[in-house]
Amino acid sequence: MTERPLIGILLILLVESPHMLKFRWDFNETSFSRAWHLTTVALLLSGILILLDSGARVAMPVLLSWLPALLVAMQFVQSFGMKDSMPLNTFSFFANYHRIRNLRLGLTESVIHINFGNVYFVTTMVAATLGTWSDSWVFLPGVIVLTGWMLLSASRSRPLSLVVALTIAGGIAVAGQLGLQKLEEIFTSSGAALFQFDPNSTSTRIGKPGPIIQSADIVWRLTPLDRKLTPPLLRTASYNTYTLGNWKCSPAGEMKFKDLDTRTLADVPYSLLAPDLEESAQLLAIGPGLPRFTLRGSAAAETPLALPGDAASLRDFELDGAERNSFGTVRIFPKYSIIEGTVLWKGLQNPEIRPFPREDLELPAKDRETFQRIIRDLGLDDQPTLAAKLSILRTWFRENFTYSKNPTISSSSLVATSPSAIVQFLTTTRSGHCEYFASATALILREAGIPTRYATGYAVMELDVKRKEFIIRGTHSHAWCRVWSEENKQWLDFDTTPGSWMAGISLANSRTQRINDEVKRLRENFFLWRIKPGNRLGVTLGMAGIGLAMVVFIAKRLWKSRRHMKPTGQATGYSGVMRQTPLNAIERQAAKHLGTRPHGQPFATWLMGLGTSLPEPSTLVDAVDLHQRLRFDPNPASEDEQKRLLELAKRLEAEIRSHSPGIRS
Amino acid sequence: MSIKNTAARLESAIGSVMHGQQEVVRRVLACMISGGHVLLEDFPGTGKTTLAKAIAKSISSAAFRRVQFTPDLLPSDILGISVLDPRTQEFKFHPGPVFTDILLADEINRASPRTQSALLEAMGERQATIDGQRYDLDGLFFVIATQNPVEFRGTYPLPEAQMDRFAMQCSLGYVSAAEEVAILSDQTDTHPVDRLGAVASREEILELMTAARQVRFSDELRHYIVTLVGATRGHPSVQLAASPRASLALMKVSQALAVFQGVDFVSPELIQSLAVDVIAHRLVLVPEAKYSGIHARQIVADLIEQTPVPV
Repeated sequence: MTERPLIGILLILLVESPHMLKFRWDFNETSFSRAWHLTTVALLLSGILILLDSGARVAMPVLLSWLPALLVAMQFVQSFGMKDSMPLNTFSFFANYHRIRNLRLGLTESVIHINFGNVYFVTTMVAATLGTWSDSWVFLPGVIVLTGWMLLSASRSRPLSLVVALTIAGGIAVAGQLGLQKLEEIFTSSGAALFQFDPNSTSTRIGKPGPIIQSADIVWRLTPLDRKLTPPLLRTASYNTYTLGNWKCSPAGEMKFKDLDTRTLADVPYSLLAPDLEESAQLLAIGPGLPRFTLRGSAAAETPLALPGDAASLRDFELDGAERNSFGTVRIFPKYSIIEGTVLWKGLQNPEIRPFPREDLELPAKDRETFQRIIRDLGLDDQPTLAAKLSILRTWFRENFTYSKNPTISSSSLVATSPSAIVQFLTTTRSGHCEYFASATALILREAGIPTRYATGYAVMELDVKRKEFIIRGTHSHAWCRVWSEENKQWLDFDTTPGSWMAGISLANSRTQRINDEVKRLRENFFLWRIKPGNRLGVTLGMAGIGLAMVVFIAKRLWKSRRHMKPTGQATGYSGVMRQTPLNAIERQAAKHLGTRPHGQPFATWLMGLGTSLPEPSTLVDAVDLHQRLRFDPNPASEDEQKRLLELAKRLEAEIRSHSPGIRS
Repeated sequence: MSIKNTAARLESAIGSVMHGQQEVVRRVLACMISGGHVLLEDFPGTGKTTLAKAIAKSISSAAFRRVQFTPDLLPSDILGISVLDPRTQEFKFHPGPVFTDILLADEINRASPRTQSALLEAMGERQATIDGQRYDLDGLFFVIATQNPVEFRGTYPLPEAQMDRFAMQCSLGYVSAAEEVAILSDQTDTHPVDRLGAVASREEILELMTAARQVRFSDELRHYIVTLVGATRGHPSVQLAASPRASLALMKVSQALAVFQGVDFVSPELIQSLAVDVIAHRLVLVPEAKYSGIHARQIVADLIEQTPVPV
């Protein structure tokens, strides 16, 4: 909530204004129920909207952070109503129905009453901790100081114990805050840190036995346009340095992301071609003859775009910006959480720059012997062209290796072991998943002197025939190589994983998955419809109109039914002078020991409850007698009496303060 | 000073007969002083009749009449009747028991509503109209009616209009064991009522009544009374709510009670202590509430709790 100060201030005004305003409403149980219905509708609607906007994992914290605004109707009926509590069954339709029936039948029923202010306070605190400001160092001290201020004004005695209590509470708050943040992270970061995307390094499961578990949720959807050409692989990132099952980018200077160049290409917002090409070559990026496809999916800031290795440019995406690094990894800053646009590809150029002479040929020294032997056995060095070398390698992998999602190779990812996981894969087991194939191929090719990189992304393999679109799921994640062709001055995709790996995946199409897909599709369609410029205005106007009409309707009815509130402690309907006495002033002080005085309990009776715990009960008796006279006897009191009561009240206050009788029930 | 004295003497005299019932005695006396009438609803044998007799006996030269209400009782049995005097050949009015200072209407719900209603005019306006002739009742006209809450066979519940004429309805209830022992030991020889002598004159009672009317009552508390009584109107369990007559009675009885408490102004505590007795019997509950055990007295008690009181 802290990131929306305007709404926050408005809510504060609404919640705190009753202290300054002199009118109230006589809200009864029906009003409470109505407010709750309104709140439920608001909760449901905003829940749906937030879910559509941001997806299931982020929706909960976002909804929580909006709770103070959504619950304001309840707080309104509480703070502007005459009653200081509401029955608990307001919040349950069935309990309420039961109660109304019992009332009608005249059956007695015990009802628990709560003050919604407490609930609202807690909600506000929770919402505040979920806001962006809660990360700043002022947040927690600020909250503690504010709470301390509130508590201090409520009880002036024992400030030291209050400070101690606040310190302990502050400690718990820090722990709670950290815990909440962690929880939020877990909820928002796609379930587990394992799947978090890092453009500069990726840790593979090479050397880790056990099955790979992937989500079958749709990530992207791809519809070929014009020539019905479809890219077989969509890359999200490339890496070039291998150590113990991890691929990283190097040198460090090239990892930096730079904005995509838009200068020369006014027609196309984002050209993807390598920035080291000349301007004339750059123009190829918008070539009208290039094949194209539309790409649709959900995205957040810094989401990597899945693109073909020879992607040329992006069109029609609603972006705040896009950037890429020297390895051709493109990431975007979308305007909305769901994006759709056109990708032009087959530009005969690449998004990444030329290979680095050292990094793209680097090898783990211990394993070189194995690679050299394989190269020798296959006769790779004897082949004249790159294409021939690749062909031999592909055949070798296809004929001698099997695909397995559950490999048995085990090796440490911290220290180099002998033989390494890759060597085990190449020589003994000859069975593994795409990460093995891609890493091994890349290293062998490097040994053969061909700059090669490791690429991750998705295989395009599931065609929805009815809709004529390709569906890309988490299970379609794939890894392959990018091989530099010196001849074409181009990076080429090279995939040695046996094609059989796809067979295992397309079967995983359960009924729940189909329902999930359909929901996601609907959500995306609705969202994209909503953000289209024409529709967006309509939707905004329509929603604002409905909201405004409701607010006006409610406000008008409320305004008509408002009542002017007499100062507290005065008879209803009485507009004459209210003669407060000095004793009235100690009500707050006494309330600390007696609890708040119930509406219907006369002040004198209530105050006499202090009686036995005071050292001199006679002071109290005298003061109360005099108070009654001054307050309720229509005959004006003499000045002496007033002075005397003032003195008695002072003495009484001092007595209460110094002796601070124990809290009484 | 003499006013306070009179009040205290009356209280202690009746208190000596009614063991452990100081609170109710004070209320009933306050009701009398306020010019209202009281309905005692209680189980048999709790001392309803004794209380009425004790009050009558403690006031010197106060006429006391007792009418045992039965189903065949006629209005003329209460109001009086004109009889032709054969000597003068004129109708001569024989006043009924209503022409008295203190009237005990015992088991009032046993008479027919017609007879019960004969009391309406007398109680409301302190006058009786018989054969078109108006007769004023005495300044100190106080009706103590009793009824039994458990025996309903052969009874006629009091009409609402009649109920409304009673300023308040009290219950004596059972006393503590110690008090009951005191009652037993008190009556070994003679009944304490018989031993009771007059402690106040009729004039002194009239003085008390004047004093009660002079007890100061702030405007704000009048609003409080009106709010409290008004809260019965529109209550979901109440079919017939309290009338302005209830507000009036509550104000007057509070003033009278103030006299007995020795204060000369009314405080909200006083009003609250009387509100249930003064308001509850006037309410008619909706049948659903009635048959499911909700009591009018509880409703009024709840309303007292809910109505903001001036402090």
